[in-house]
Amino acid sequence: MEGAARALAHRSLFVRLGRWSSVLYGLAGLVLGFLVSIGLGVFTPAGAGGVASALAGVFTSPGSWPLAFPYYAAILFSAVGLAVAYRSGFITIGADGQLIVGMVVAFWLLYFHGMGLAVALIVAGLVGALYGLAVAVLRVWLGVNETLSSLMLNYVAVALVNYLVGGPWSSGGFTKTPLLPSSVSMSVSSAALLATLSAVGVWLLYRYTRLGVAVDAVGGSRRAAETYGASFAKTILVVALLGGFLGGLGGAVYLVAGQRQITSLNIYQGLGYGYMGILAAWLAWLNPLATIASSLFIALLYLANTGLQLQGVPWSFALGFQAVIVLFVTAFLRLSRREA
Amino acid sequence: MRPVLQLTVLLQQALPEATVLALAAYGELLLERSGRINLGLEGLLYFAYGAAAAASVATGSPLAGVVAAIAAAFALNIIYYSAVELLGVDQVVTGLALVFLGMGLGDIAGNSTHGAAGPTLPSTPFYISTLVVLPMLLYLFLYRHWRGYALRSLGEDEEAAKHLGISSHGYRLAAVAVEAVLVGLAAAFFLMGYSNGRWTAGRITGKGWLALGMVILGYWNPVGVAVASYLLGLLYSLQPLLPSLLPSSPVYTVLADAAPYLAVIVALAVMSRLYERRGLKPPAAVWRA
Amino acid sequence: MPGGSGVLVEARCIWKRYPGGVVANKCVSLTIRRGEVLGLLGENGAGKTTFVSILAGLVKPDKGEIIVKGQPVVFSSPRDAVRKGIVLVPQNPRLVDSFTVAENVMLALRLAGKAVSLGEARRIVHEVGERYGLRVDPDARVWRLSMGERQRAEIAKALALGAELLLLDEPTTHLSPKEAGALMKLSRSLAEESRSVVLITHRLREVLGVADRIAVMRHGELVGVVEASKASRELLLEMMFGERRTVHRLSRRRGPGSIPVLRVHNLWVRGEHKTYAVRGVSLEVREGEVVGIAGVAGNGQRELFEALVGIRRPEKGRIIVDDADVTKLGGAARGWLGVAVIPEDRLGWALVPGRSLVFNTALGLYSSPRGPYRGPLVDWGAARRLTQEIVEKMKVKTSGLDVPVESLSGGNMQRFILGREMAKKPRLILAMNPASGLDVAATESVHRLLLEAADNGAGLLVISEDLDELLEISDRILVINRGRIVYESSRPFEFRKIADAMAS
Repeated sequence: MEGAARALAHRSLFVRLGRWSSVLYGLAGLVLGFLVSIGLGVFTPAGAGGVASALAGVFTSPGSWPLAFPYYAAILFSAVGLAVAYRSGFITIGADGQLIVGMVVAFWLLYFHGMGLAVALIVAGLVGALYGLAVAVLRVWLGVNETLSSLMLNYVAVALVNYLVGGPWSSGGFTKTPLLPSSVSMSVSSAALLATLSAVGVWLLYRYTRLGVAVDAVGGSRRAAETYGASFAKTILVVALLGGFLGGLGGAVYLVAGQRQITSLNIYQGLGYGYMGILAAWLAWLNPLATIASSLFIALLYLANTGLQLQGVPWSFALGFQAVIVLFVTAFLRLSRREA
Repeated sequence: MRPVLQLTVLLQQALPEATVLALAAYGELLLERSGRINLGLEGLLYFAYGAAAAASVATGSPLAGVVAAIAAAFALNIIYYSAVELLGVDQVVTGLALVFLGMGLGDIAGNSTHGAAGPTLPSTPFYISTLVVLPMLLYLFLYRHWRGYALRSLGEDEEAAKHLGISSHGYRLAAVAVEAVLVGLAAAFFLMGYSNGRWTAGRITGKGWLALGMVILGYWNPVGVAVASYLLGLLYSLQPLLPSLLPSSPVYTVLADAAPYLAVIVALAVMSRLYERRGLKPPAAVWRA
Repeated sequence: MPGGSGVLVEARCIWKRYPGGVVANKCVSLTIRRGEVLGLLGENGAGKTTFVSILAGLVKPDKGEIIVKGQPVVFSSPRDAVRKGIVLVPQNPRLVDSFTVAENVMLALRLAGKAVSLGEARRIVHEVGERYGLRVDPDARVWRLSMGERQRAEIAKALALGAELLLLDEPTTHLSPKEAGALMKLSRSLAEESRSVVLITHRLREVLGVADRIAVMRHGELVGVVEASKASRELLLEMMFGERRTVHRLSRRRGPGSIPVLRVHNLWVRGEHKTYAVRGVSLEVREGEVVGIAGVAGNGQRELFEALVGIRRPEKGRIIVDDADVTKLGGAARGWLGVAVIPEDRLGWALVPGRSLVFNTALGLYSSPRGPYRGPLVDWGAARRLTQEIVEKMKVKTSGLDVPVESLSGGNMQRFILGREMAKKPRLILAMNPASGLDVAATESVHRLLLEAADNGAGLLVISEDLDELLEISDRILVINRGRIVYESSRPFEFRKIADAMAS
């Protein structure tokens, strides 16, 4: 009897250690990725030291974090939808385009039609959902690869913005629209809160509704999913609608709480936060709840980088930095699985 | 006389775009035939572009530019190989991360030129080798040489290939290396044959993604890829003409800008349907359509 | 009849342990003589496939030696084994589907170090075909070939590689009884040429007719080797199972009812390559009835199963479950109507790999009214309780409910799947090769459970390549050949007639 009890205690200890060891491996990857990225700073005008101090500056002063909240909101709205999409095997990179489309719709409603904020946010989300739906429809009924089609739609969104900003919505020059009136506003904290609550909502959907089972089933084995009734087509369509809605909403929130106007874009950067959302989703190991933390982390990294840009460090350095960390973390987590 | 002249000009203007796309796509074609997909192609191309600029401007030697471009693409592909083949990390996340890493590194490298123009290279040899010679060579390799069969068997049925004794690691390493060389050449050409040796941030954006599309549209066949790349090149050379051809209206202006991208989506839709109809399938493990 | 002179291959004390603790081979020592047909007998899971995989260079042994023609060898890949003349003909043909037979042979020869062109490979396939009666078209794409033809192509490939030792792993699995007979004759002619053939099988019947010696494995150990002349059924059974095994006659409490649960009318289904795989199949399954569909693999069974299950749309015809026409509907409708599905592949079709048992329970019952769901919400507590019930009732050996499902052994996986499907209290059970790869004990429990379900009123449709299985459990047997039902019979079954119907 005692021996059995001891054996049982041992086993649960191993199980707990096992789970902890993944976390340890992940942290090790994080730290190593961090260091390597800082090392890459050597090649930038700011030098490794400059990069390190910018990072230290941001991470050690929580008072500065609210500056990153608009980015956090945009990134999180993207990431949480992407996390669910990637789980189902739907590899879309269209979050950035959805953000842009959401911004455009919100600006149109708020600036030109004086709509209420809530209405503008919801409509932006709905249009974003349609934008996402397009990719899913192309995939489900025409077999078009979603990575490429979603990217193309991103580029189309950029073309749309440039046309609007350079033409009918121009504020004089050709690079930006006028600012939103001060009657329309949202504090950065509200934006962050809204994003966080949305992420929690998605997690609840994933964890406690059939959608979660369907998503994991379709992503794990489409055959098994379809056999037992979790339809591939329906799941992909829902996932795309959800991600698109969140993207559109995120773009609107970012507009109101952050940028307050629309500026011209290039296809190279796009808006950018949608792409960072991809990295945030993978960094969170596709766990919707964990995207909250990973998005904040990535937003802070980006904030640090905006300061560095003044020293001549390219905008994309932030992306590269984030990418290195994602690579190290995923590699280390994979290693920990191998040990298991 | 005028329309004919315009036509030949158009046909010729399609070449540079086609060359960049095709070169990058050939490498990816080999990799996808071996059963893997490298979504990081865009990042590889971007980093190679920046590296070519940094090296060629610094040394004044076009050869240095080519070598640097290849080395840059190779460095990223070694990360891809190690992570995906050796560690078993998911190829999607690795590829996507490499896109962003490549962009970051490419900008750092390219910025070091401070906008200076470096040496240039003659374009014609590139056109001929990329659109005529290489597709033939690759075709012969894939369909006539036994090692081409071996490579394809990896993509068709990895289990069977393993039973035959084909080393998946070996062939994929070779594919990854060849891809790096071709991507390096594509980037070097883009810089020194097409952009007069001057690096501009973001100029090569999208070509890597388009190259991925070319592999699909060319049905994983070198000749198909060459044709698809050329057709897209034609579309690019037509693009400036579009505004004068279409009625001037806001919708059409946006459409004109977005034309290449929309065209790719339409082409993919049409081709996917066609493949589906004729019961054709991509190399098994690759695009899960 | 006696084996030729000299030892060709000797294996000394081969050990192999798989991660997860299973010891597949425990100090297995065996000699294979030149010019003999050696039967390697043992039930599923005894370690036979592991052993021959080691001989063929596919798997590396943990300990032990292999000696070929007097020289010790170490194989780092199948190519090394092929160079020494040892070729494995696997149970499932491993040719590249989209290539032709000749292209496959050319590739194999090239990898073995023999520089041949495609034309030469074609000629070789012709020659081998002529000499040994292995008719197969060198220019046919492998996906077009039947299972029997594919196996002929595999053997032709092995002979083209100059195999002196052919390891045939469960070769008759996908063959009709006639083709199996031809294969046995071929083994004898190869032996007469001083080649050696090892026939790996779990079927006594096959080995007794053709082997010179019979080696028996059990639980990873070599129990013994007997001369065929001295071997009897009883002796071999005792060696295989370690005790006098009595064959348990599975009995039924109730017979079939009269109400049909499944009606299929004139079903036409297209296969992978746009040709019709199912051509006008009609059948009916009543309450409490077990209907078996026999046939050699590749005659439309898979497509028929997929259409019945709801993941492949038929072109023509109707599928009716309990008065509901589900032809154009998917798995969800079937689940709602109380259809249970036991597919052929456990991992990847019945189960989602990488996920826990609890998750797989939730997925399995996604559409069932008895699933752990309340509307759109998932009740994970109920899912856990259900999984626990299944594990206890079916005696599934697992280290927990949250472990990934692939950590279970094949037998335990199947027990779990069965338990999960039975939890639906199904009206109709669709099963395909339910006992494939399972040892006798597990097979028996699978059959017992299926018959229990039938006794409780469910209708069963079992599609199987294992004729013995169907003869044991079915009330009626249908034979499918080239997409059509060509024969139907109730008990008592006439083996001859069924075998003839299965022949191509």
